[in-house]
This record gives sequence, C-alpha cells and structure tokens, in this order.
Amino acid sequence: MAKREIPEINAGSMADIAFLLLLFFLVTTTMDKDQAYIRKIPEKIEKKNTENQEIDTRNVFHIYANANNELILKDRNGKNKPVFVKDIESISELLYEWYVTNREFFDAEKLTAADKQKKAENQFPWYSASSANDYRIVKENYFSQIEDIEKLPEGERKKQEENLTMIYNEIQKAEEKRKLFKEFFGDLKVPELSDKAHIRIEVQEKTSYELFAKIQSEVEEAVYRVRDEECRAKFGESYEAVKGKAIQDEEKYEDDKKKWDLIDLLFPANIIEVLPKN
Amino acid sequence: MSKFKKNERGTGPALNTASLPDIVFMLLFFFMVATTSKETDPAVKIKQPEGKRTIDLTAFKQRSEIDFLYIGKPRNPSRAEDFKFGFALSLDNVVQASEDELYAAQKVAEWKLSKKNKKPARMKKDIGDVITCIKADKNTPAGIIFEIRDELEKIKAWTIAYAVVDKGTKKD
Repeated sequence: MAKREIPEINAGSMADIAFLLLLFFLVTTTMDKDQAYIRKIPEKIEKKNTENQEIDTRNVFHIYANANNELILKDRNGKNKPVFVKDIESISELLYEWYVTNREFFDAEKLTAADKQKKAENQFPWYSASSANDYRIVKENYFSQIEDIEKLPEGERKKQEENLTMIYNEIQKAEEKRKLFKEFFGDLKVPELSDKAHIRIEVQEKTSYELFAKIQSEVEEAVYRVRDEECRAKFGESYEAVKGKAIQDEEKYEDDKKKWDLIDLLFPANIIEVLPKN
Repeated sequence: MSKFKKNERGTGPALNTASLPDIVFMLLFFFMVATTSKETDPAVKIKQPEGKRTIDLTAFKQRSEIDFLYIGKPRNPSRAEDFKFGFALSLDNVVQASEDELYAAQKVAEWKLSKKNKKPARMKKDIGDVITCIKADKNTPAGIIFEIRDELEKIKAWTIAYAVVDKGTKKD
C-alpha cells in the first residue's frame, strides 16, 4: 500500500486562541499592588496596682487629631501646639529629632558635665547602654523569680502563676536580644532607647481615615529614616532591601531576618493608637 | 501601456504568520507572570488615601496570610442613610447589616474565625499572625476603624494593616 501523506494541520487560528487567552488575562488581572502599614494591637495587661503612675512626658511623642481633622502636637515644653494640616509633613522631622537627639549620650560613663546638663534639659527620651552580658543577667533574674513562685504556698501561687506567661515572654525577649547583640556587637555596649518611649496617636470618632493614614505615613517615614541610616552605616545595605528579603522568605534569607530584627530592636516603634471613649 | 495593468496572476506570496502564535503566547506569559489576579470588586465604593513608605503586601497574599475587609460608601446612595455615618462594612463582598447594629462590626470576629477554619491544616497560621487588612475610604470616620480593632483584639488577631495608595518615596 502506498504511504498516505498526513495532511498539514491548519494552525491559522492558533493566534486567535492565544489572543483570546491573552485578553482574558488582561481583563482579570491587575498590576497594582496592595500597599499598607502593618501594626500590632498591643495586648492588654491587667495591672493590679491602679495607682496613678507618673509618665515622663519626654517618653511620649503625642500626636492628637480632633474631630475637625486638625492636628495638635504636644510641644516640647508640654504645652499643646496646634499644627495645621499644611505643615503635617514636619511631623516626621520632629519625630526623627525625638529619636536621635539623645542617642549620642547613651553611655553615662563617658559623659562630660556639659553633656549631662544637655541630656537632662532636653525633652527627648533617654538612651541607656547595655550589652549582651546585661541581658544574660536579666534572664537569670527572671529564672530566679520563677523558682520563688514554686516556693510560695498554694493560695498565693495561683495568682503568681498568671504572671508566669508574662515573665516567660520577657525571658524570650531578653534571650533574643542577647543573641543578636552578641552576634553583631560582641561584648560592646549598645545604645538602647528607653523601653517606655512610645508614639501616641490619638484620634476622635469623626477624624477621617485620610488624616489617620497621613499620621501613620509620617510616623513610618521617620522610623524608616532612623532605621535606614543605621542599617546603611552598619551593613551597607538599605533597610528596605533587608526587610524586603526577610518578608519574602524568612528561612532562605535568615541573615537578613537577623539584621532586620536587630535594627528594629535598636529603634523600636512602639505605636499606641487610641480613641478615647467619652 | 502596461504600466497600470493589473497583475493578472493575482496576489503575491502569502505572508507567513506561523510565528504569530509564538509572539502572542510570549505576551500572554509575560502578563501571567507580571500581574496578580484581581480581587472581586468590593461591594462598597472606596477611594483610598495616600501614604509614604508602605509595605507591599504581595508576599503575604501569595501565602494567603491576609484577610481583606472593606469600608466605604454603599454603591446605592439611597442606602447610605441606613448606616452609621453613611459608611458600610463589606466582608467577602457582602455588605454587613443587621437590625440592631447598623454597621455590624461584631461580625468581624465571626468572619475572621470562619476564614481560619476554612483553610487547610498545612496553611493554618496562628490567628495573631494573620494580617487583617482594612481598606477604607478616605472619609471613613476613625470610630469605625477602632470599633473593628476592638473586635479583633477580642479574638487576639493582633496584626492589623491600614491600606493606602503609595504615592512614591521620591523626595523633591
């Protein structure tokens, strides 16, 4: 039998099919990304002693927005100072100043009298000097506290046990800090922002989300600036690059995750968002 | 006088279009890789505010570690009066409403937990680490946002994200 030739397949409509697919993807997908500010809601802690605790105003960077979308910043002298929306951009400058001013005065042993005077007079949060060794001591202290709880009589133990998880978390934090400090600084002293320093954003029920987002944006800008400067000085890389890699894959970019954690420890952003209820 | 005479032998050789599908497929693959699928259009109208130094959420979306909720004006303007402040909350493209509570923030906790339960076991993450992203209209009163925050706090969903449009970080 003669070989029969296979007829050629007409591929002319292939392009049409491909175009249809292409159009489908063009229509159903989007190129813009979701952008946002990520925040943590702080855990509520039941405090037993409710007596009024004195809050050092230097530790709080207070941003207040009222129902008419006007901004009020606490002045460095503790007075209210209205900031109009026009110069809202200055918040990041002020916040930057708030972060870095006292950083050079971190080691109390090396301060001259003039420095001490300056540090005491300005209204910015204080830095302290601590090293990996200090955190070893913190850890040991907490462990001894746990042992003390075991010794307590039954009735009191229950109460104390509630504090156990909190103490445990503290140990975890101290241990993490110790590891990171040891790895990146050895036994050197590290400037650490006062743990009471925080940024307080206070809004009213009718404050618009636009202004709220704008405040978040300004805070983020300042925090980014201090962290980026530190990151470039220490690792020669931008903070954004380090963080981007760590977010993408924590295991693959383990080193970047550590760098990110360290920078965040050096410049913590404790942001408290409140809406006072009347 | 054959200058204007038509070519009697008909058209010239056919244009070879065999490589056209290849070109189109290449385009197709480019778009498949470069874009992400659109979420369903939210049931409420939203115009997002702008901000600097935002975080790109794509990585979280790919791992589905994020839930979106929408707050905005209802598409039907006559319905706006039904809601407190005129803003409605939309979860999974359904505008939330109930008789007693006008924008039903308490549905958020229920919705979050059901989202968690629907996920396959290997993708389950601690509820505190799954981001709840609030996409809200510019003019949304902060009161609504804080009410949702309170709901999230109750179920220990600690991580929250405020969506904005990045206006670029270039300084002039």
